[in-house]
Amino acid sequence: MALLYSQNYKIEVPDILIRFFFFFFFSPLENHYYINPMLKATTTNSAVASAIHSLLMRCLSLTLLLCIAFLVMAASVEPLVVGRVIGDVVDMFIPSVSMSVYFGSKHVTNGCDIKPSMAISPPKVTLTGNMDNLYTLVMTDPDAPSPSEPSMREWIHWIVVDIPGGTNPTRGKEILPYVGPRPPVGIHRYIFVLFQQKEPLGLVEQPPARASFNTRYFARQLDLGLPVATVYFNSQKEPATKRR
Amino acid sequence: MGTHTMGAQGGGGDSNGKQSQLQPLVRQNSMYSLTLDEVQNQLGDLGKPLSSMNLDELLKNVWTVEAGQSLSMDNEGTAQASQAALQRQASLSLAEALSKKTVDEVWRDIQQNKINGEKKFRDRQPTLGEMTLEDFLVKAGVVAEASSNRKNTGTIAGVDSNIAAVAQFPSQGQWMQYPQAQYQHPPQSLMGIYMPGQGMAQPLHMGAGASLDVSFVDSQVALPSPLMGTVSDTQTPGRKRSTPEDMMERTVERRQKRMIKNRESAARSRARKQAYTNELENKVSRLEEENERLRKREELEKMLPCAPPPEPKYQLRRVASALF
Repeated sequence: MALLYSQNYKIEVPDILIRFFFFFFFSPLENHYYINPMLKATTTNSAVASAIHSLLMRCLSLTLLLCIAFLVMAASVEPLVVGRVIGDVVDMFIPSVSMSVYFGSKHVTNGCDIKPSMAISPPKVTLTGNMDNLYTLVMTDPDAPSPSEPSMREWIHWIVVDIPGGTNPTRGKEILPYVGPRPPVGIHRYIFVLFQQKEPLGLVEQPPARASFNTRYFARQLDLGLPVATVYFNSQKEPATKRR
Repeated sequence: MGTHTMGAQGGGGDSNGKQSQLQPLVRQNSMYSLTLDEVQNQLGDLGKPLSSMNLDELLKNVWTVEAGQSLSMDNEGTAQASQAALQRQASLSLAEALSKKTVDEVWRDIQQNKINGEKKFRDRQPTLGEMTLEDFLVKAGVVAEASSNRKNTGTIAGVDSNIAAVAQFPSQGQWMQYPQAQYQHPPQSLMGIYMPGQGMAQPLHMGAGASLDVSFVDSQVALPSPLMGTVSDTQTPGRKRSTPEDMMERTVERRQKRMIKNRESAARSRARKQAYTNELENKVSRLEEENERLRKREELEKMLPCAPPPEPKYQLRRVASALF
């Protein structure tokens, strides 16, 4: 069980807490006596009291687990919060799909630096998830043209819809062709946002322009809901001439 | 600029009341910017026409009127006291020879270029009447050579320097010193009117130390002499009355904007760094955990006879023996 959690959410859930949860939630009344020895003394006569007690214990353990899960979940998106990805582009969400992005051999992790020259071609993206589900991938730049003055926020680089789960964007429909990052000024964030579709979307209308794109609005239009995965990298303009 | 001056002073010159002159004078409150004709008008009945006055008397009259006007803008007591001092000083500073001459004679000398005036003024003042008082005095040599101390520090010293400034009109280069002087003074908007780059203080405003500072700044005189014109012609036509204060405000604004932008970008860079660190930490913990798991699995596998015995390779077995 602990293993399952770790793989899906990429977090570390201490084994012992999981066991604690199951011990109390699903266990018969006797186990509760381990926690509260007094219980035995008080409830030998009253069945009702012991029933209530056991109910309370189960609730407590459930709440505890949920709290832990939430905190741990929050930890996994923390880089997105700190980097203001959650806020500028998407809203707070709970990742449920694992997405890995590779530019060549370079694995994209949140906040890593990728040179524009390495990102000329579309990356290799692999998703986990059910084959039955369809996903939409969006790559956007909220710092266009410059992070200190993002007048063109956001600048959309890539839209692919109808990606079957467990595969990659080549199996989907490319609504907007991929354009590599070309930051003119400053250090830009380039964000990959993955949504789970409720239904096949088919041919989606291209946005009128790449500039002034709004991911939230786009998601609302296609009824995509909250993202299921997000990853971002930083990129800045490379010096024109090689330093001697 | 000259026309503007004339217009203002023309209006002001008609009425001799000091108070009514206050408003236009506030803008261009120096006699020196007036042409001699207007000066004559302003001075009213002097007894004899301007041109035949001695320079001494001319200056005295001018200063009397100016001091009188300055009364309305400054403390009366100090103005009067300083006025007396002025006149004394002025007469001292005038060259002996010059003071005896009449204005007419001086003018003739100027036209003949006997007195070393600046040549560039020649084209602009064809007749005596149209010359500005200031230029006239420059040419007449009333203006001594460049004064050393332009900034007023103490009271007496300030007065002296003011006198010197009155008695001498700085050459073109010296106009430039004033902008810096005035920028150093805190902007005072008592008058509210300033000419940028023309920091010629009204020398007749007297007061003790601090008020001298004030007066220097306050009484920014629009001295649109052609002298100044050469300096400020390029500036004045298009400019919308931007004062040194405005410029200071603008630079302050600019500085603040830059500071804010800088702070924002610093905050962004910190956030970037922190996000990267967070991600790295997460990655490390993930990897460590996976490592642990794998190790445990390995151990378990070692302990138990986990691996099923390898499938027997194809083994030859005797099934039956042949009889033969």
